[in-house]
Amino acid sequence: MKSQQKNEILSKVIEISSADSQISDRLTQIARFLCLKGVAPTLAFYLLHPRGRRLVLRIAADSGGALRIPAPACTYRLPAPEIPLCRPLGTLLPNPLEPENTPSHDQLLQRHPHGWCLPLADETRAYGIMALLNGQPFSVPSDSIRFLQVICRQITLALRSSMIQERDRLLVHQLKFLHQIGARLNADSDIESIFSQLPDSAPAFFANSLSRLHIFATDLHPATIMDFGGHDPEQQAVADRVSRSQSDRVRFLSHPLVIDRRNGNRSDNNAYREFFSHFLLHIILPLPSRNQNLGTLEFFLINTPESRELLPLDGEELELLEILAVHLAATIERTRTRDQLATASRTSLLRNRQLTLLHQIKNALLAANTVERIIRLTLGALVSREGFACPAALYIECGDNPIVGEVFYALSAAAPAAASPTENDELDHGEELARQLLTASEKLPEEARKKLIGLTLPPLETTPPRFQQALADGKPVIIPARLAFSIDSRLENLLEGQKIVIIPLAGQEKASGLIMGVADHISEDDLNYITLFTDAAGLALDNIRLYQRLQDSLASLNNAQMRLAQSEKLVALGEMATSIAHEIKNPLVSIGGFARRLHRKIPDQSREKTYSRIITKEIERLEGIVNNVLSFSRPEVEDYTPHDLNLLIRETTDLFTRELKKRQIELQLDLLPDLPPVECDGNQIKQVLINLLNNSIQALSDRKDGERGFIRIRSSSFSELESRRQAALIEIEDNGGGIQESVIHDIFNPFFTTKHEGTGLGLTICYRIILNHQGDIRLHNQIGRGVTVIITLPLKRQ
Amino acid sequence: MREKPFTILVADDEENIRLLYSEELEEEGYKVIAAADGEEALTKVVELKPDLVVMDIKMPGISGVDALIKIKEIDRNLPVILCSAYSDYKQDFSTWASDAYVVKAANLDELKKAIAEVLAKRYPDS
Repeated sequence: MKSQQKNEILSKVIEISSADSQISDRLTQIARFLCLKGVAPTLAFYLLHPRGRRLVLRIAADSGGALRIPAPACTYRLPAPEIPLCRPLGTLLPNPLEPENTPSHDQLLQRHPHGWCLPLADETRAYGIMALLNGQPFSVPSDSIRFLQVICRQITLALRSSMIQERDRLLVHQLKFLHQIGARLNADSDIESIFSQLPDSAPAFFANSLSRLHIFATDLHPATIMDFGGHDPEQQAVADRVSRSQSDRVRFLSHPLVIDRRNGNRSDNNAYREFFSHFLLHIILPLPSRNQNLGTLEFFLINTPESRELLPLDGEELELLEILAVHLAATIERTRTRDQLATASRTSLLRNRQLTLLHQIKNALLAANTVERIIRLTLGALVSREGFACPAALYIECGDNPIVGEVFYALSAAAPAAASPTENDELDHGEELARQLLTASEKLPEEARKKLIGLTLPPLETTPPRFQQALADGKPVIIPARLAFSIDSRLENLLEGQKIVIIPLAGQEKASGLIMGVADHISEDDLNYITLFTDAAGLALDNIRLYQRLQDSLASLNNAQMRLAQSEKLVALGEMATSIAHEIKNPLVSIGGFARRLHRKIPDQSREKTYSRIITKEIERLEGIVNNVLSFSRPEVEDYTPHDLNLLIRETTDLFTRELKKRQIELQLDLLPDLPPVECDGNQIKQVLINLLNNSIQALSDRKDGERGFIRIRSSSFSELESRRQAALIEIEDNGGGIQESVIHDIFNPFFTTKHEGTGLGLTICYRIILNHQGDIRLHNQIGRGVTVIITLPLKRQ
Repeated sequence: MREKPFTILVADDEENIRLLYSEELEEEGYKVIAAADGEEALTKVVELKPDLVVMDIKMPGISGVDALIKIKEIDRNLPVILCSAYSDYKQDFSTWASDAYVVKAANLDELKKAIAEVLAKRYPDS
């Protein structure tokens, strides 16, 4: 071959190899060109498969241009990596294209068994073989061989750049795929749709695989298994079996697991027995998230000629799958976090509303001024939809002996939904809320209550332990309904539910009652809120008790102060009255005495007689007043001896027998037979009784309505609560119409009287005498009905 | 029937009372002598030997109660009727020594009744 011709061929090969067309087209053109130029009768390119050590016949050409690439394409497995692809030049058909290695389907080599092989390789790797073939043996001159080596070098350059280009393209493709998947995952689309509709950029691997996403169960989420791809039920069943067989193993998987025919058959796992007739590979990838494995992403590569081309997977492809798994894990984690956040925010919103409600109820509770109001507010809050939405709740008052007292009952149906508060009318809303809560509960209707009467709380030690615990701690508990109903089965009619919340209503003191409510929808978490708010109820109860006690002490203080003022007034008045009355008494006796003498001497039927009678009468009246004053103010000389009060009463009433009969007043004596003797001044006590009987008779005589009057005298004895001293009690009751409210405070004052006759000292004297006896005298006045005077006398003086 | 009327000593620091008692009791047929205080009463009891003494409790100097005790020392059989403005002085045990106790009043019926009773008891034969 002339050098000019060589230059021509070389420049043409350079031109073709650096053209901008597919590498296979370029190789075909080069092959044809070289045949045309008579470089070889037939020329073929056996190229290394990019995934491994095998040669594949890619291109063949002859000078006639009629050569077809035999199908199927022939593949030569390379025996071992250490054997070089090509023997030194000049060797006939270097390995692997040895005649004995020639596969039967390589018709090209069958027809052209003679030839020369030239390696397509550079310093870094081999790309294949250029084979010059012929039916008969032929020789190549040595200078032609050197020329062919230069051409091969040129082709190698083209192959290399094409390979790099191809790798770049794949890389870009993969990146694009990852980007698209990532964008979809970020765009909130669910995981399922990502696998059912793969992006166009998805590597061929996906199109030939079944895939399965298995997300492990956690405390909050159940396990999820999603299967994608494949329409063959048998394949799916096989894949499913294999997946399940590995499920225990992969829970703590931290690296991808690739099971192929070799290691799958090696494993003693029977599950893989049928597997490889359907599939080529089983890939298991962990879904890593924060040091734990959320689940697995599995691929089952279906056994097809196309997918066989994809094997073996190279590191980059596996890495792509790993990145996908990490993406998925992050998405799952993000979804979960978002769900948790949403739940938390919903819960916090609910809690916020409950807290607002709690605050308002607390205010209403603290403003409540009766125990009943507190109980009804508490029940209302339990059943109201804004509150805890109990279907029904009831309050049972615990008496001293644990017998049911008042029962209040509330149904959620009766509770109107409270309007949501706005900032402006928060105060109004609080009142409105209280009003609505109050309407939710009511005293149990009489009939229903009767059914519960006699319902007794059994002795505490026989109640269920959790019930005891609740009462002991004063904290609410939720117990199964059957335990609550074991206390009394009648509760079942009022509280229909599976769980019952028991709320002792107590402040600092022992529980005054129990609230029971249907707690089917109440969580342990809610219970904390219920505790908060029953604590508020307890506080309110304490406040009321405290307030009542304060009122009581204030009243008794006022009472004591009034009595003190009264007795001081009496002492001062007594001293003054003594001196005045005594000074008046003697002149009065003189005036009266002489007036009577005059009267006797004046002739009857004269005007003077009338005058003197008037003088005499008026002086008698004056004397009466003075006598009363003196007896009231005179320093008493008392004679305390044990007396039978009943006897004193009888002796006194005997004095009135005629009077009572005359005025048609019935006297009823209700005297305690064994009344212990009372250390007292009998005469003084008699005087008290006389004064009181006089008052009663007077009151009964003033009655105009014709109703029959009565005076009832009762005697009894008791032990005083505070001082523990024994005392006797006398009650004198009449139905004389009572004392007007406006004068009730004055009746113990000296000289106060409502009567037309009298000095106004009667009750004052009584008061003083009883006080001297260290006793007590009180009026129970019922306007329009009558007065009961209650006298307390200690059995022994101190 | 006694020939000589009973002599009654009236002791009271109030002159008008003495006059009233004297007139009223003389009308009843008694002979009345008067004393203005306890001291005088005691002297007149010794000197004039009355049959009965009507005495106010509250008097200057020797009080009625003290005078009563002294009179009983002189003649324990001489009846004494005590008068007082107070209605129930009788609870004072020192007044128990008196033969009667009368609350002072313009109406002297009670006093007269008491005098008659005491005299009848003391001098049953008259």
